[in-house]
Amino acid sequence: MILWHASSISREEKPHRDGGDEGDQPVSKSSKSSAESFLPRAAVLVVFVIVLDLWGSQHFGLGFRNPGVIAGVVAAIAYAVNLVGRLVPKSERENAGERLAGWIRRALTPEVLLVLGTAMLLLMASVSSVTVIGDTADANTRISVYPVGSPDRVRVDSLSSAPGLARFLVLSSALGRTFRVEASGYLPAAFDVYPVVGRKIRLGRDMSLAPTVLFRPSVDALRSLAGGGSLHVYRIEGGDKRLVVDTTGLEPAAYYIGRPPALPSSTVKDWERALSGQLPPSVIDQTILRWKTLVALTTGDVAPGVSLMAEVVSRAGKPVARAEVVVGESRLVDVPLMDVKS
Amino acid sequence: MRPTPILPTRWPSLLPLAVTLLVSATPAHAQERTHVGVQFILGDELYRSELTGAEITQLETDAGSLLAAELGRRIGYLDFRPSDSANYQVQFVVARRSAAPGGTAADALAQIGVFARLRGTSPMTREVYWLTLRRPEDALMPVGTPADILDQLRLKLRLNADYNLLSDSLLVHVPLADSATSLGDPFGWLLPFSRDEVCLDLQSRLQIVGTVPSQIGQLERVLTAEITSVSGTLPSQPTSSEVARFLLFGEAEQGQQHYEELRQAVIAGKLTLRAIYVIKYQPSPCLQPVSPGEGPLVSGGGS
Repeated sequence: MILWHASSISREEKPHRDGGDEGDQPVSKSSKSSAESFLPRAAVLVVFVIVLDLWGSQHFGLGFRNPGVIAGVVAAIAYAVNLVGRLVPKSERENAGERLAGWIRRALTPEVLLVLGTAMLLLMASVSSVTVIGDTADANTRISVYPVGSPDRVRVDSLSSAPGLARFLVLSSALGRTFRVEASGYLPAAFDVYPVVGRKIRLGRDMSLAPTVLFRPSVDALRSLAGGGSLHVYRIEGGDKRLVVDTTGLEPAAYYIGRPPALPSSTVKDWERALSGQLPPSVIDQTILRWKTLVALTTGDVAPGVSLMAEVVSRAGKPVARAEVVVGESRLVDVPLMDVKS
Repeated sequence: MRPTPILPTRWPSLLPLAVTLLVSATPAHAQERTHVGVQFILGDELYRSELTGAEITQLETDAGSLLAAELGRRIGYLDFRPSDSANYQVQFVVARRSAAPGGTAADALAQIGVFARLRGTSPMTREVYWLTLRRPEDALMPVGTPADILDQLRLKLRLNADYNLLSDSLLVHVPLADSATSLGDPFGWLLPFSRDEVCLDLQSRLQIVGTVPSQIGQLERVLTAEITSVSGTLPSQPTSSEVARFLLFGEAEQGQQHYEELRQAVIAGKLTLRAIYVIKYQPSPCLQPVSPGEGPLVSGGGS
């Protein structure tokens, strides 16, 4: 369609170019035909602008469809025209208008439109975006996006608090490209990202919530942590243990991996029941208070099926309490650390 | 002639009597006090898991010395030394009071404290729960460093420890002496120690164990005696320090079974003394002073 316009415009424009400098009559006639031939080009330009606007809106979140932007631009132009009209004499104004029109006509040649259209096509075919959308609970959630197979090209951002989204401009291809998206508190997932339309990902719908693993140290372990002990968490993969958390000087508390857990009162009552009869009431109260203090462990999320081992080690480096767990499907995986009997 | 104890009821007396002891038995003076090894064993896992091996060893050594020193300041008739190889051994073992083999969940309710064990007096080990270090309510309190633990122990030894319990339950089985000069009239035993050597005061009570021959062999006989006086040559107006140099005399308490039999055996020189035990300890002022904040010499406080 662009090519058709260009050729038709090219054909219509030839007389004007050939006789542009030959007296008033030809000029007037050619001006009329030039004005007529300019309209399709202007229409093409408008189409370009609209497409660009749509594309920019899709991938950048910006566009002239924004009422505020449109109103601002229109007001600015109107004001500028009005100002020029008042300051410049009529004859000069007409001359200036003619000159401006001439410049625009000469600039908006079919070749220029062709180049512009091709550039737009290439841009839209290669640049796309991944938009991650969360809700208020996901504010400041850390998002990572990288092409599958190229984790070194990771790009990281956080969900903004107000709109609750994060945009990543990515290089795609005409047939689409697969990206891996990771969001703290959610299970990582891979998405095909196509040009023009990009990809919108809604946390919780397109990406499942990751299980929260809650480690509850025993009474002995809480005391050991208060005395300078440390917490180690290992990821068990194929019989090998990989240390993923090694912290010392932690406040005695319950520690979690994943999203901050909401503790149901029934869970807390279960804890109280488990301690009842084993400890004096005052110690039970203190222990429950410790367990209700939730401290996040800075490590990646865990997916169902992952094996973890947590261990509290005393100041002297001796194991005090330990637990192993294979993460299941439930949202909250409660893991009590049991005393290590020597 | 029979040896004559002087100052029969309390010292120092103004009795102007100077008596030269004439005893039939071999004088047993200059005998050393019974050496009791003191050992501290950090037995509970709660403590052991928080300390390194070197820290445990050092803490056990330091606490053993501390205990020996504290016992020495309060119980003068035995010689307490930090050691693990003495004939008589008092082990202070930190353990859970309701410790059960293998440990159970109910152990968490138990308090952790010091058990005192006496070894060397018989094949059987005598044991008593002596001093609480951690109450069940302290379950979440950090154990602390070895220095912290030693400070806590020092404080509890001075404020909460019941030395009477230790004395009455365990040390009563450690002999004060295995020889003494037996006297028939007054019937008693002249101990091989002066007051300042063992810091025993009047009214301390002794248990005398000896054997007498019979038709079926040697029979063991036990009598109790009370320290009633000292014996020796005193100046006309002895001072307390002068009295302290003289040997203690334990007079057999009348009305006991075998009293007369043993008295006759002593007179006949047929009693073989086995051991003398202190069954009621009345400390004399010769002990190292213990400041008021550190509790009484022999406290009556509970653990």
